[in-house]
Amino acid sequence: MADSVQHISSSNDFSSLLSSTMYVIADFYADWCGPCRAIAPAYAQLAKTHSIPNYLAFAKVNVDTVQAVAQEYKVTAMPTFLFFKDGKQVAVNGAAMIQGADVRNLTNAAEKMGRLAKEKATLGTGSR
Amino acid sequence: MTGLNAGDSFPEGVTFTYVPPTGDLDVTACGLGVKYDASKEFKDKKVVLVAVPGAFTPTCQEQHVTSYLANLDKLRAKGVDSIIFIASNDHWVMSAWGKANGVKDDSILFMADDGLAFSKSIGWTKGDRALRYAIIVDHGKVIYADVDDVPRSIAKTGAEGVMAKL
Repeated sequence: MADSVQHISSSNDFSSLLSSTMYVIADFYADWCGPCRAIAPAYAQLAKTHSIPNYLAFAKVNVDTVQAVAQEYKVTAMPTFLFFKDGKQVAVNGAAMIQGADVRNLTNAAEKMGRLAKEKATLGTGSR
Repeated sequence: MTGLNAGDSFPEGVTFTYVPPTGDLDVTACGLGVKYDASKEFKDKKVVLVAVPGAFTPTCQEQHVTSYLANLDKLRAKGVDSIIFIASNDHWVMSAWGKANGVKDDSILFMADDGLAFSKSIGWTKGDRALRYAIIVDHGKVIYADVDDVPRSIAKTGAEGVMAKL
């Protein structure tokens, strides 16, 4: 089964994803960070369940290999989950970001974005 | 140049590395080393910068950090925006030292004087450790800078000594 998560390898990669996909959730992580590894399976599962090409993507940004992107978004604690709509950072369920391996809030945010993305995809608006 | 004097401008180009505190997230999040542009940050703040020979070393641990923890409210009341401890240790050790002292927020920041760059630039080092010194910077201007050269004394650089100069 293909990996539903988008692995970001550069700033360009990230900008491309933000401009091609209406809703994006980004997981800023590090290989050496225990909590990041702990939440990875849950994130992958959410990606598998909710991703919709062009409408909702789940990205993973390694803060050590793609430092520029981590610094751009001022990520200082991993994992940090950020949300984007139409390329701009947005808050979901009242939170501008989720810091730490918080499975419950991450699942709620993914489900919310999944619903929004599905609506848009069905309406066929914002097609790129 | 040896030391800094009251009345000097805080030097340009001074940076430290630190791990921003992750508060209560401690076990569910990992910190990441970030560069702190001291010269820039000190321009619009009142800061107490304290250098110690080493994290976890006896006087530094038993007296120095504890004196600041005990006087946090009084220091804030005197308009201090940030209290920063630096040492020759790397930012991971400094971060662990902060956590070991129960500091989960930014009340006291623990930073690495990378390669002792800053301490060396003002000549306040002994071997590969910093001397025990304290500097008060008020919006870019040094208003106090002194060294405790009596072993195990924090008379000039502990919280009480520094508060007298604020």
